[in-house]
Amino acid sequence: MSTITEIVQRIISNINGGITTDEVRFDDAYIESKIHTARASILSASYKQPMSDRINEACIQAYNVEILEDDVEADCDVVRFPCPSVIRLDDRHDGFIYVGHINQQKPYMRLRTNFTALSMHSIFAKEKEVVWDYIVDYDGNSYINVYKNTKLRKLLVRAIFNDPTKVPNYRPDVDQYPIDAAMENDIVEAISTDLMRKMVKTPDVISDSQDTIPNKPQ
Amino acid sequence: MTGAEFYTLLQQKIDKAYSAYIDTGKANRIIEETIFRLCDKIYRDLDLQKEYDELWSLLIKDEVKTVSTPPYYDLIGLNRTYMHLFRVAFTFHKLQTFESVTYTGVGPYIYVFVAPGHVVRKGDSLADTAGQIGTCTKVTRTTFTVSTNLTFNTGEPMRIVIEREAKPYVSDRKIDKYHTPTIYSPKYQLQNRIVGAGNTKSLYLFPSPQSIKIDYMAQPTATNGQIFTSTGATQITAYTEKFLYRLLDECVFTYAGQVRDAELRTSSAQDITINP
Repeated sequence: MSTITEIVQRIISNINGGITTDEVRFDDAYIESKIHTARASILSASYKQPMSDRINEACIQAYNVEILEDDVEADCDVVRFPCPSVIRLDDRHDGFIYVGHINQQKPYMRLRTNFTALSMHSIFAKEKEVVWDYIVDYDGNSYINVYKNTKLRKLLVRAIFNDPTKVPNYRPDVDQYPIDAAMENDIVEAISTDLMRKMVKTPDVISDSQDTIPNKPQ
Repeated sequence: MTGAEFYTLLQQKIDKAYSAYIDTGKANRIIEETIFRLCDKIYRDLDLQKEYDELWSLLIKDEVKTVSTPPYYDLIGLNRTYMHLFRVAFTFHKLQTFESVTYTGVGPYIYVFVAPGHVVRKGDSLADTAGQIGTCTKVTRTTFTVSTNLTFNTGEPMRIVIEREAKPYVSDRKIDKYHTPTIYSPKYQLQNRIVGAGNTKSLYLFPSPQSIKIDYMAQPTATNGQIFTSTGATQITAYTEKFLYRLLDECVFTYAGQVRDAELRTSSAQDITINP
């Protein structure tokens, strides 16, 4: 399959009559952001269809995360691992597939979201195994909080992420973008059509505080 | 064709009544002015193979230059005099901050990562501290093998060589968050590097790369034989015969404008149209 760069080039070629030059008016990062969101929309829509509760394996990414001792808060009962934001498939399911030991054979139990304080207290009091939770913390970044084992330093995460390029070990220039061929075609065609519609409007590139359309002599 | 032959043909193309006006000094000035205009004119229509063939001596491709004074590169450092830009590619040595390595042996050259989560891939070009480049032939979760003996000391950083094509950085679009340059979407802008009263034509590069690979159109210059003189006795090798015949018509056109000869100007313009 294709890298994110190749998918961007396909879209630019589509709207540029088959060639890619540096004259295209759309920035790569703009098209990339549209690719990420189109992928999330397609995944969410397909998951919500009746009898369709299977995740497309092509969309799953995995990464090892290890935190250094310096990054662990002293005397704290929580070990916090950075985690890129994870996709939400519907109002009850998000994109986590596996969070656990790096041997891929020991998933840790997840705290269910929206527990009351009393239920949380009950779990922390009774549960002996490692449990984890996915939160957006006060610094605005998303984390996996691991409880019941303050010595834990390594974690394996398999999930579907909102922006696959934000996964720590992802290389945009060489790694496959996590979609399959059918999804790639859907994404490319949907974005190309959308951009074609936008191209009907001539951009105002003259900074004169007016909606001026360039009228350059040929 | 030699410069002297070109001069003779030029005189023949101009009405005999004026031919005395075209001495060699005047002819040289007309040749220089017209070469610049013609090259620029062909550059604007640079599309067919015919046009590429005619300008071959001015088309400089894949010239590699080290960026020793980031974030800019002074275009005066190019092998030829810069005229127009075609393309710039950036080569980055992307620092892998947490992937310091420990040297473990000699042939195969296997190195060990001291932290997990690397982004090295088989086939990557890797650079050591001294800038020596090797190819990664095998990579695992904890080790990587390189084709040549790179020198790393324990704890030193390792760099992945990444080449990316750059796009123009446009002033009016800098407000756009998506227009911000990144290592995977680098940008350049042509800029006057002002130092005191001095002006230097420079290419500013964002983010700053290790080196650039540049395609550009060179300016015709006398030093490289691209601007010849009417007294030149050696063969003109920087241009095709087709280009030189077209240049003759253009020279007549330039000359006709200077002597206010409407008839000659019209007929030379027709010659140019008929034989583009």
